[in-house]
Amino acid sequence: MKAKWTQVAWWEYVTKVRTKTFLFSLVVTPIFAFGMMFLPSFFATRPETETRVIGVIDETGVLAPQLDSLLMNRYKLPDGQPAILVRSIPVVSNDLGAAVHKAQQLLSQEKIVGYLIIQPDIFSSGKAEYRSENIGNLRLLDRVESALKDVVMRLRIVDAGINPDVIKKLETPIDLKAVKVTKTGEIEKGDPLQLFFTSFAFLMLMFFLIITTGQMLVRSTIEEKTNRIVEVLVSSAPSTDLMVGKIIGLSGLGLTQVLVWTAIGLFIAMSAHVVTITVWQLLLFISYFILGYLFFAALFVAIGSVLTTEQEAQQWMQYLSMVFAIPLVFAISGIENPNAVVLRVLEFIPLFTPMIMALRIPLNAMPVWEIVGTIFVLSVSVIATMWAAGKVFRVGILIYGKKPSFDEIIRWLRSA
Amino acid sequence: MKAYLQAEHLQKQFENVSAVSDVSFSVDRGMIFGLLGPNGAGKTTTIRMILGILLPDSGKILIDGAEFTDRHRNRIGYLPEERGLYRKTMVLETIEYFAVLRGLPHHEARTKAEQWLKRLDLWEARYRKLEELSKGNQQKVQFIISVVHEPDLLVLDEPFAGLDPVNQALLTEVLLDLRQHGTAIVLSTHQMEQAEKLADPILLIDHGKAVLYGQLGEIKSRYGTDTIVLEFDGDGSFLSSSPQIRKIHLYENYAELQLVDHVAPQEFLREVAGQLSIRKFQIVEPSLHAIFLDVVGQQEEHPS
Repeated sequence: MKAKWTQVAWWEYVTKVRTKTFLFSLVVTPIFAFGMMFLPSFFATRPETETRVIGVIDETGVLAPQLDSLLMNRYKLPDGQPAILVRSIPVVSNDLGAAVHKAQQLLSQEKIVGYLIIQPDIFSSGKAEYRSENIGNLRLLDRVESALKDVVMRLRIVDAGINPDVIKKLETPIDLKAVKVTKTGEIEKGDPLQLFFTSFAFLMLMFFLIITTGQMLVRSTIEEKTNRIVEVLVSSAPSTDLMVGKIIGLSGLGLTQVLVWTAIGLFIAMSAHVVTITVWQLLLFISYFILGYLFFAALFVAIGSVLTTEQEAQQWMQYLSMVFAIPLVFAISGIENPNAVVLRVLEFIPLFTPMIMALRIPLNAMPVWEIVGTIFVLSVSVIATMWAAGKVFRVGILIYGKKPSFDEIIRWLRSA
Repeated sequence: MKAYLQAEHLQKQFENVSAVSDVSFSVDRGMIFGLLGPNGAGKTTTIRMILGILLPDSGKILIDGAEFTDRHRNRIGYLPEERGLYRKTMVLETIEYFAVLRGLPHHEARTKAEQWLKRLDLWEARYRKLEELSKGNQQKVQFIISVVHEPDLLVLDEPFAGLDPVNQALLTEVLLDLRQHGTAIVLSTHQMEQAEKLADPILLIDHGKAVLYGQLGEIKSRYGTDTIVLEFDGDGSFLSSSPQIRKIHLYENYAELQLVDHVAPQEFLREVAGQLSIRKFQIVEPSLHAIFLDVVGQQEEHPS
């Protein structure tokens, strides 16, 4: 006779995979999540297409031309045109008010996007003013500021009697390159920002998966209870078959999700060059995901079988989400220091193992004993929770209306 | 012939309440066994023990001579009292799933499901979602789920509740047909009229104890043939305090009663004819309904 859990698993998988809710979460959630992550930086780094003209009211009379040539040479549009042009607004017979008035006119005609007022005391005070309708364009402000600083500095240095050639040498910038090495000194590819994104993406993926599929598990158990389908099910098939089938079927659902999401995610991330990952890392990730999922699934089924209403389930899911969010708290500091003691302790607690490992896998090569150790602890926990969940499921699933007390659950675990 | 289902000295305790105590019965193939009793009498607990959902504290269930094992699950059909189905799935595939879960191969599950849908006038609804069906039709779907795999033992908990007369008749016909084909049927109900028409033998349980067990005719004759059925017009309320009457179940225009020993029925008839306009006066065996009320009523008065 064919094992009945295969039928249960198939049913759970097929009837859920075709629902609109699942399709929605399959496609929309990752798009939304990745959108939130990448759109802001996409817009921020989007190449400019337009040359901006700024007005300069230069009371010193020497800065404007130098500023103009510096800006023109330093910042280019992709097509080679200068990104920023300077339009000098002369101050006639020391009448600053008239110059400002003229600049304001140009601004209202949209000939310039803003204007700079450089007063004669700039060399000593180091202060200048930029006026514009839009002072939120940080990139423009940044460029103008640094160009102005450089121009002023050059003049100061020349004033101090230093050779212009020396100045050029002094200005040579430093480019700090971060290189990831293993303990044995091998150099690995990937820069810190990429690692951060990879690590964070892994963590978020794990978090969303556990929350969404966990919810499905609890829901489907509760649905069978509130609809009283469970009596017929329990009389048709052994309860272990029912539980195992449900967990496997819904795990399949989770895996479908992980595959589609990884595909979408890798595509977006790799085309944006923010994620680097090796096959070995992916394999590790999937192993932790499957083990972690089975652990949580057993937990969720046990919880689902003692609850009686959808509302209660929602409450419990909230508490659990909070517990699962704990590793997120360590995400940032963990990325800075993946070998922190706190992470190395947390990774051995089965509740946190999958997510902490998701965080650590892309960051550094872990000692083999840690990988073997965590997988061992997690596997033992999976078997233990499955066993316990089986017993609670067996009895809890027939409970309607009355909530079991904590020591009742303990007694089920002992007997049943 | 050996009984298909045999329950021996079943005992089940919840917390400190004894739900079922020392209940024994047996059901043969081709028999509709009536498991009767008021709400909370222990019918559902008994049924759950038959189905292997609950384990008895002591006593045993034998199916086809053997103790319950997983392999028996494929030979059993069950319609629970609390109805419910997956709401979002279609009628045909839901029936197929349960049939496969009871061990039918896929193609056979499909054919059987289709046959039953046609037989119970649900063919048009086969591709509709269950939540779109009326209550009565959902119940018929659930009945199909209990019989689609042609079980040897069919356990029905209140199968008639919620069905209109047409469907009740249809269900009765199907049940008689199944009995004809040798299915052992356990019919649990508190609707005595249905039980009286279909079930034989019956077991009446109350407070977890068997209070009456046997063939219907034998039970009725045990309760005597001195029951009088009275149909009348007028105010019959005086009957309940009449010294001539030993026991009475009085309704608006109908009464079922037994007389005190020395009162002759004819004498009683003359007396009431003066006060009521009698439409029907009949000396019969007591109805199952009256027996039920008597037995259960006594239990209420003298809790043991």
